[in-house]
Amino acid sequence: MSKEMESFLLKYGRRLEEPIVKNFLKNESAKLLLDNAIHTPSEENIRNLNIAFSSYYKKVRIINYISKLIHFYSIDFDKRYSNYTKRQVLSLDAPLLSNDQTNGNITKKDTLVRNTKIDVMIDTIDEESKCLTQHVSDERLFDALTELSAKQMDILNLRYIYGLSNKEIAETLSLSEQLVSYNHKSAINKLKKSLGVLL
Amino acid sequence: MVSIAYYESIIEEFTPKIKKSLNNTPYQEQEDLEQEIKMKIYEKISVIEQLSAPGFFEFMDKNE
Repeated sequence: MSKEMESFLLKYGRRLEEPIVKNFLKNESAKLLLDNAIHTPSEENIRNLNIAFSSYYKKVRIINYISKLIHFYSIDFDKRYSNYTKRQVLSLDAPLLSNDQTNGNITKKDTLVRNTKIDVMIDTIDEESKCLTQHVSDERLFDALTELSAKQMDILNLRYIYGLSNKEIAETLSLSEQLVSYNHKSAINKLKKSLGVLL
Repeated sequence: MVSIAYYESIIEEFTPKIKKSLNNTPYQEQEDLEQEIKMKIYEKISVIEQLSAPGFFEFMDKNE
């Protein structure tokens, strides 16, 4: 080992163990730059090493920054959404005027105008779109869906069309929550297998 | 001035990560979340571009 190398290791040896430096030096050209800078510490060699390290470090920081941003923002978004739905409950039968005793029976439901024609139309659309198979355009996914058992199909419908939670599905189908969760998971895995995503 | 090409390359690179993070919210909200994340990254692009990094020896001499 050369003298320059020894003094370098003596001075910085411990820092070479840091992950950022270690990973930087995994790259062959980075190693070469370091060797050059140690053995012939000309201004140019040192500058090249500094620039290479700096751009590597910057890339790492950017990746770190963005992935943290995505992670925490998605969690924050979900918190905001669930808070919103918890606080802004849609209540159709709460009295509109709480202080007016005589008219206290008027509720939001009464203020909605019922348009029979539109209702019938919505009902028929609903009837047709009650099954997930009516929502997919991919033929392979369609075929995969038809192969599921009736119970699994019901669970997927309730979950993805009506947006019910496992607990609500369990109540609707009078199954246990665990069974719903298990069936949901196995249905998804079955779909993945038929699509060749999961081996 | 934000470079559109740079923004798009970031979005492309991070699409798998974004898709994964969508699982943090119910299915009905995932589309909204995806859009909001992309908007957030766009807002932060100038911060991202200004992230600084020390040179090699600068880093090695730091915190010694």
